[in-house]
Amino acid sequence: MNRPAEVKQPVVPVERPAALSTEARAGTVKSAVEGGADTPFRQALREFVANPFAVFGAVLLTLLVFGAIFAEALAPTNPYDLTKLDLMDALQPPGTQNMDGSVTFLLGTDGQGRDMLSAMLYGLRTSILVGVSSGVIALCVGATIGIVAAFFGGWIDSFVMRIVDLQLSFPSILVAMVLLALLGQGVDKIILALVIVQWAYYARTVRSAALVERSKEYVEAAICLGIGRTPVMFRHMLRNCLPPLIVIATVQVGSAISLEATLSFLGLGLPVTKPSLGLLISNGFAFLMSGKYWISLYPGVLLLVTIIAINLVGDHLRDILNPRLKR
Amino acid sequence: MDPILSVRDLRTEFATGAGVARAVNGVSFDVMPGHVLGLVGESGSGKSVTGFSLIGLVDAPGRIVGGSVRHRGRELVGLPQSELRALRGKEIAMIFQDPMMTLNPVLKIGTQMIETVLAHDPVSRQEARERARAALGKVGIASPDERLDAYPHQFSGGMRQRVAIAIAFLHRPSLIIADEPTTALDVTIQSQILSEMQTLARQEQTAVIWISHDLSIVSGLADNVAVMYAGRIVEHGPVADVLTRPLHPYAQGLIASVPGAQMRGRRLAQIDGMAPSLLALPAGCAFRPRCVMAQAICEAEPPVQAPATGRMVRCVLPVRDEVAA
Repeated sequence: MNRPAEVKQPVVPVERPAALSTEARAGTVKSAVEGGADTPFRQALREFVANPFAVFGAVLLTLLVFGAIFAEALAPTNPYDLTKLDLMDALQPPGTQNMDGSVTFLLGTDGQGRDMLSAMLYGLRTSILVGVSSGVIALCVGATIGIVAAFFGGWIDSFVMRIVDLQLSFPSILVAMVLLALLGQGVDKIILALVIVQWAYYARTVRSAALVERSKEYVEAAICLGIGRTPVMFRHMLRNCLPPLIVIATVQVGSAISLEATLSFLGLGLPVTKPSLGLLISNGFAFLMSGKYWISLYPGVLLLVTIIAINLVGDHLRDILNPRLKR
Repeated sequence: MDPILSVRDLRTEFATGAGVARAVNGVSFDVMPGHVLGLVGESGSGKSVTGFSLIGLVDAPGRIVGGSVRHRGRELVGLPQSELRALRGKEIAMIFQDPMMTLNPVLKIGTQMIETVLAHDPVSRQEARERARAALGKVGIASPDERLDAYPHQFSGGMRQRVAIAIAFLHRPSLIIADEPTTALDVTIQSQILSEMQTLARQEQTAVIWISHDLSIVSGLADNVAVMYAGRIVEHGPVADVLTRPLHPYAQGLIASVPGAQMRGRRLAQIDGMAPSLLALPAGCAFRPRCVMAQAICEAEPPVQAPATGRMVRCVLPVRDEVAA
């Protein structure tokens, strides 16, 4: 869109005198279009940018994701290249100087002589990968189930929602642990477990939003025009359910990352060859009592910062997109 | 000429916790090709439910329990949903009361129109867009190309209703069910929309069922008018006859209550009482408790009289001679 309406202008509610009998044909329509060009999306974006905490969270999150994606380029060493590891480097505290005064291991090394900074970048990548992909899959599954339940109602709705209730009545950590005990280790397994734990949240959110949309006339109108059920559900209704879905997705990715960290810390889920932040924390745990704090502390701080950044963004999205909090 | 739509003894019921509400209770009428039927009545008289029943769109707990709806001779009651869907929007289109609500707020006008075209005709997107553009032009929307890329909230109320009308006419349906399409608009826009609908319907030879509670709109638009009360048609006939010489006491009351110039300063006539609950309809004539001419005989089912060709009234009162003449 490159209409002049793009130019930011004060939002004036355009209440034109409707008595203009030529209104539909004459140029007055133009002004109506321009006045209303402040799309909900742009409005939300502006509100988001106006909040310093939200912007801080978003910037932080962007940096973290950037660091995770380009871990290979950014990390000083490849922490999983066994040929590069030297046991002589093991358990170096952060900032240990070489003979010439330079610093190789900025955040120290672990028990195998791995550079902690590099290991953390790689670990962050695994954590975010697991969190986001399980979130996206759970969103697709949950949104589909939720919208189908809301659209058809009746026994389908009751049946699906009782399953959701049942699922949500168990603590997610317990369900995930049982599943991983059955499935075994692996990135795909932990994503599957997290999807099974999370889909119910999405299903419940989408269903409640879709129930509201279902009763709106545009759905009835679309059906009256002979448009099929699938496009009505996924093109018409789902798009209108997006605001709460975006919020829950952000929060759920954050909780998926922390759940994955918990599971890895407990030794379930990810294999040792592909450690996430949780596994790094767990690795350093044994050395904590001997004062070698850095192996656990720094991955822990990184995990904390990641989750805080996600929650900052999520919280403010919720404030913006929640119609009940609108002034 | 065969009617485009022929409804016989249509019955739609809603099973509620408090009992069965007979929202449409034996409705019969014909719509001729290119004709406009005005369906009038007060809120809750079953006009809208009748409209939805015609295209098989009654939501649970409602359901069509009997009767027949024939479109071009084809029975629609009991038709599977997939076949009804092929009919909706293609042969029978609907226009609703509130154009703000009937257009999806997050989809561009063009998307919604193209989707409607593609739902029934296997044409290219380009062709579909071209048709949408032409349809917008036909309802008097300036620079339709630009409008196709606009969202509903960027339109005024009248413009939105024009869009809704354009969508309804996309497939040149043989029948349009218009459910109070001008109620949400102010009076000047209302008259524009009315004349536009009239012109389009005439051009395309589209029959229209115009559901309304506003007799003055129906009088200027419809060929025939059916007055509904408590789920039944109590009077039916050519619009000029019914409006000038109403036979049913309810229709008489309705017409007397329309404000006219000669009544300045006088209280408007009104019908005392309220429409009965559909769950507790009085025995016999449903209008009896409010009727000024009610007699003991009204407790029995009122007979259907046909005083003249094309006229029908459901009342025990003898039809006066001047009407029959």
